[in-house]
Order: sequence, then structure tokens, then C-alpha cells
Amino acid sequence: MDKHKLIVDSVVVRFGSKTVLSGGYITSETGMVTGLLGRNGAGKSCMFRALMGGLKVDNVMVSIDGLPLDRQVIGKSVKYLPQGRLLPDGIKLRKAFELYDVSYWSFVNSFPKYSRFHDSNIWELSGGEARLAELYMVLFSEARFYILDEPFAQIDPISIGAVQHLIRERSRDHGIIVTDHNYDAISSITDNLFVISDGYTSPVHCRDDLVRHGYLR
Amino acid sequence: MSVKERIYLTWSYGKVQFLVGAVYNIMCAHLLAMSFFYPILVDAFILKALVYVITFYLVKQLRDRDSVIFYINLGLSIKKLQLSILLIDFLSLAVLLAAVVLLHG
Repeated sequence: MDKHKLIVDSVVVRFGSKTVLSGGYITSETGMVTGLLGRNGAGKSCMFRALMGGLKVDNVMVSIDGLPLDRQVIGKSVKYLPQGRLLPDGIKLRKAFELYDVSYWSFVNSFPKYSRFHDSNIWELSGGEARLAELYMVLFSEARFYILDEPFAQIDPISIGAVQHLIRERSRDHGIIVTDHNYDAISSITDNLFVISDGYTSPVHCRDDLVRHGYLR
Repeated sequence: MSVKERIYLTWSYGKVQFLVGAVYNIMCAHLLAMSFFYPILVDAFILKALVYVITFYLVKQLRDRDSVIFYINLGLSIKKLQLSILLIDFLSLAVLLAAVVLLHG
């Protein structure tokens, strides 16, 4: 299988006079899970939203296999699960899966309780139930790279194992970037780690790097 | 993505703007049909631009910021979606007013 590489570089995000990111950088390769860590407000979600075009940025460079990516249609190559609610109000779960070209019944095979939500609106599901459905929908839609912003948030401990399994399964032929505050859940599935602090991204080689960047004590 | 899906997504993204626009367009057509005062045609489009800008601003402020990712993930450009809404909205006003003018000749 061919390897593909996504590079997000030189991300600069400012809100008024406050600079959130001065040198955001992250890479992802197919066949690997990359973790991004950082304290609250460090700029993790900003970097992803800057990449996807959901946020006005001062600068961002995105390329796949060395070729610049047109951010106007980035969704064809990179799918993003944001921290908040992905599904707009009024779109039923079945319809959303259909638009993302993902089989709802395959999802039900993995998570049988969702058979009764087939015709439900997203607001009829609990936060955790909605999160799991959105995560599956994004992860099994067509793309080369996936970015999962806090995929374990609101998900019960039993389902976290299933989510980790899904991420590992999909990472065999896709590149996945994951960020979460559940350090144990992240570190057990990632192949490489980055940390954001003071507006810059740095690679993490050992636990001491996280202590040095103020993420762990 | 099929044309049907694209139309559905454009409607889903811009339904508030479409509904506000439709109410405004019908009001303008009704006013023109009642008054036959053709100079209001220019005012109708100037006011339309103002209503569009205000609706656009309010929708942008009130929309859940993450829900736009739903459309971006599908490979849609938010700028193009917004442009489609603008074109459809203004065209429907133009068609409606032209129909009133033609019918009342």
C-alpha cells in the first residue's frame, strides 16, 4: 500500500492582539495514529479549525505528499470530528450517514443499541450517544486522513475500548490525528505524539518532554 | 455527490436565510402588485441587500460554529454555499417582481 503524508505547517492564529498559535505544525502518515496534546486553550482545536477552514487564520500551509491542498475542498481528503456537535439540527442520523456514504447498519452491527435511533434527530440522543455516532460516521467516511478532536469526551469507559479499536482498525490504511485530555486513552493508541505550548508545536519523545512543556507534572 | 444531495445541503445550510428572503420577496411582490409604483423596484433591491447582510450576520453569530464542519467534511466550500444562497435569493426576487410586472403589464 502507498504511504501518504499530510503536513500542516506555519499555522498562525490571532484573536485581536492575542496570538494563540505562532508556529503550529503537525504531520500525519497513513498507517499511523498521531496524538496532539496540549493544555486547555493551548490552540489544539484552533489548529484543526484553521486547517479545515472553519476559522479565519493569518497563515496556514497544508500539503499532502508535498502538493499544496486546496482548503476550499479539503473535506474530500481530510475529515474532521470537531469538539462540539457536528450534525446540524434538523438532519436525521440516517440522512447524515447517507450523505457521508457510510452504512448505518454496519454501525448498528458494531453498536446494536443504535438500531432504534435510525430515524432520530441528533438532539434526541444523549451527548455520549451522539458523539459515538458522529465519530463512527466521520471515521468510516471516504478520506485519506481523519482528525478527531477529543473523541473520547462524553463516551462511557466501556465504549472507549471500542473507539480505540475502531481508530486502530482505520489507521491501517489511513492517517489519523487524535487529541484528547484522556492521556492514557491517547498514549495507548498513538504511534507518535506532539504537544502544543506557547503557540508552538513540538514532538514528544518521552514523558519528560510533556513535563518540560507544562502538560504533565 | 449528486445534484439532489447538493440541493438538499444548500437548503439545509441556508434555510433560515431562504425563509427570511422568501418572506421579504413575497412582501415586495405584494406591495408592487397593490401599488404599481415601479420606482419601488430599485428600493426593493437596495433594501434586499440590507436584509441579506443583517440575516447573514445574525445566522453567522447564532449558528453552532462546529456544525459548518459537517458541510466542509463533505467537500463543500462554505463561500460557494453562501454565494449560492445569495444568488438564489436575489434571483427569486427578480423573477417574482418581473412576473408581477408582466402580469399587470
